[in-house]
Parts: sequence; C-alpha cells; structure tokens
Amino acid sequence: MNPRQGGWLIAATLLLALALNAFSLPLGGWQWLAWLCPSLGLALFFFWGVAAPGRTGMFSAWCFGLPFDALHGGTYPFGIHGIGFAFAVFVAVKLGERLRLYHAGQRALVFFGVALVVHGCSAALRVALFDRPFGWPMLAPALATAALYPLLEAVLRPLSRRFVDADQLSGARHGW
Amino acid sequence: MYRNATSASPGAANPLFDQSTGAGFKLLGWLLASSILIAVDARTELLAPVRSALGSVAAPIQFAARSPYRLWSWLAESTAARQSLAQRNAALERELLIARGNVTRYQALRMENARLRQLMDSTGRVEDDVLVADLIATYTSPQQVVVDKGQLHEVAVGNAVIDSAGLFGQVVETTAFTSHVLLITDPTHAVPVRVLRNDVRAIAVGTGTGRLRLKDVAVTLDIVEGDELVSSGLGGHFPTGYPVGVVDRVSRDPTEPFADIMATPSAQLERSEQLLVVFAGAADAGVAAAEALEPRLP
Repeated sequence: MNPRQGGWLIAATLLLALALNAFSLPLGGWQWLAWLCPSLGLALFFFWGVAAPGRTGMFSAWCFGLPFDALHGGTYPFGIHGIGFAFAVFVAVKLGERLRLYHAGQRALVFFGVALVVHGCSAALRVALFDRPFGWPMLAPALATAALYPLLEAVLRPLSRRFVDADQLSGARHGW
Repeated sequence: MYRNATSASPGAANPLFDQSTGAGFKLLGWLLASSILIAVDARTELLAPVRSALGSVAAPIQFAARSPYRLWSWLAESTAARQSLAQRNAALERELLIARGNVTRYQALRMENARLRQLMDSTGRVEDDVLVADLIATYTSPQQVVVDKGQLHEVAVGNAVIDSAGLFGQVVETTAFTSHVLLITDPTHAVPVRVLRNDVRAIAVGTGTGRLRLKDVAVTLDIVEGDELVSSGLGGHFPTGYPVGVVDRVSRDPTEPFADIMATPSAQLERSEQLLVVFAGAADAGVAAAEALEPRLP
C-alpha cells in the first residue's frame, strides 16, 4: 500500500472499519442487534480486491486480521479474521475482471457467498474449539454485510476513482 | 497457442508465468499459517502476551468507539430538566439512606464475623477488595463486556465481577488498560450457587439467552420458584454470598432424573455501566472462611 498512490485511502477505510468493529451497542434491549452488525473489514477487503487488485494483497489482509482478533479478546483465536480477509482478497482478485463487469447486485451476491463461507467456517471453528452452541444467528452478519455491500460500493467507488492511482487499477479500463 | 495469441492479458501469453496458480498457493500458505496460529492460540497460552499487547494497542480504539455514546449520555444529562434532576436526586437520597442502613448492619456483621474468625484462629481476609470499573464495550457471542481497568490496575484473569445487584461475571482476559469479562449468562460459564432458603447447592450455567439453568439438580431436591440463589464460593473463583439469581421456573418430570430449573440473573446485565472487580484474595478469603466455619457449625 503506497500512500502516495492512494494507499492512505485504503488504510484509512480499514482503520475506520476496525474502529466501527469496536463500537458496541448501548445497553438495554439493543443487544440482539449485534447479530446484524456487518463485517466491514471483510467487505472492504473484497471491495479493494476488486477495485485495486494491485494494492490489496493477501499478506496485508492476513496481517490486518490480527488486530480484529485482538479486539474481540479470546472470542476469536488469532488468525481467524486474517484467513477470512485473505480469502475475500483471493476471490476478489481471482474473479476481479468478471466482477467488474457485473451489476452491483450481482457483486453483492458473490460477496454474500464469500461472507457465508467465511462466517460459516468461523462459526464451525468456534463451535469446535470453544464448545459454543451453534446457532443460525452466527451466520446473520454475512447477510447483513451483503445487504450493506452495494451502499459501501456506492460510497467508495467515487473515492477510489479520485484518489487511488488509476495505473494500479486493472479495472480502470472497464470504468472502475 | 491460438488462445495465447488472442488473449488480452500479457500474463496469459506464456502459461509458465500464469499468476493464478501462485495466488492459490499463497492462499494455501496463509491457510496453513492461520491453522497453526489458531491451534496454538486455542490450545496453549503461548500467545497470551502477544494478545495482551495487541489488545493494549487496540484499547484506545475501544475507548474512542465508546465516546459517541458517552457524549450522548453527557448531553442528555446536561440538558435534562431541573425537575427531573430534582426527582432523581430525591430518589438517590432515599437509596443512600437505605444503603447507609445496610452498611451499618454490614459493619456489625463484619465485626461479629471477625470475632468468630479470631476465635477459630483463621487468618484469611474478610473485606472484599474491590475496584470500580466502567464498561466500554459489549459483545454478544460470547456474551462479554470490556471494562476500562486492566493489568495496570492489578486486574487478573479469574477475578469475579459484580454490579450493584449481584454477580455479573468473571475476568477471562486482560490487557494493560482493559479487561474482558465473561457474563454469567454465557453458555460456557458456570457458577457454583446455593439456595439462600435451605443451602441446597447447585451449579448455575448460562443459557446464552440472558438466563441461568441449574444443572443436574435431582427432582427430589427442595427448590421452588422464587428461591434466591447466592454464590457458594466453592471452586474459589467467586466470593461467597453474592446474589446470583432468582428461580423463576421449576419443571419436574417424574420420568427424568433431573429437574429443569431456570433462574433470572440478579445482576442488571443489560443495564449496568459501572461494575466492581473483586480481587482473587477476597474470593479465596470467602472460601477459606466458609471452609473454616463449616465443620464447626452446629
């Protein structure tokens, strides 16, 4: 992530996602909403993987997952967020050419698949490692994040066009 | 050859330099790295210092994330009408009066307890050594809260946490500035309790839905709806005698060996913003005192 070529924007969005991840709902009857809290880190790595594949690597994705794990205390073992983010980048870069031609809704649908795999694996791991009872709400964040993805894209696409160096965007020729 | 010649991508001109396989191997590498890290973190304590250090770095983010809510509370208090403040003040004064009465009774009991312990040559501490902590973050799965006191304030894993109404949970992880507290209603949490009415002992396990279930209680045991449960102190993690919950459902099936007993936690798990961390010494003292007293009581 070279800051002079717009890497600062990617880093800033990811730091914002980390801060929002730490944000907790006020006490008193609002806690059930936490099940619908979107995984902004995952959505952002997928977005930047499609929008700026030259800037978003699996290494940075994996490393950035560590503070996310740390924020959750012992709830998530180290490496669980990192591999999820790396998988999102992998899919985004691998299918990037095709995804950029898709409609925003179709991209959200592909992202939903990625989020479902990531949250499913994360839930399975926590059930296996920490004897947590499995519940379908564990997969609700995948749905919430996919629902939010088109909005995230609508906000970030103009910013990425303006601030992220077009030479690094392999999708620039498709209007990205 | 035809495919390569017509391909728009320069990387596809020569299959030897096809990058797609590299990405797959990289992902496999990260998957392996993650698997090792997850296994080490979940099964050993080797990464605890790293987690603590990273958690300390992340603490300012948690404080910052809580600031809008605190700002809102401050604004709401600042703009509250004089009349409502006066009403609240009057209510607090009433509560203070009741609390003072309780403290007086507690002091008398404490002195009596100290005399009894002196008679039995027991050396454990009686005073509960506590620290006030503010809640800064909440999590639902598992049910945890984060408080603004950590290793710098001598908070350690295993410390019990209470609020003004009862037992809240226990510290499961600490960083320099913060601590993670597992709530008593989390399914992985269990607390030894006794029924205040008749001293029947049981284990209260969290259900994950804001309630407690008494585990493996024989159908013949005398527990009824409305019974108050307090911490028994067995196990040494929790101080003795703190309210844990009130039994709100007892279901006995004659064909089953155990009764299905549910309880509502006494602590205000969804409302308390200020908590008390009870230090391990106090819990040990409670158990030591209970163990010392028990054989000699008539």
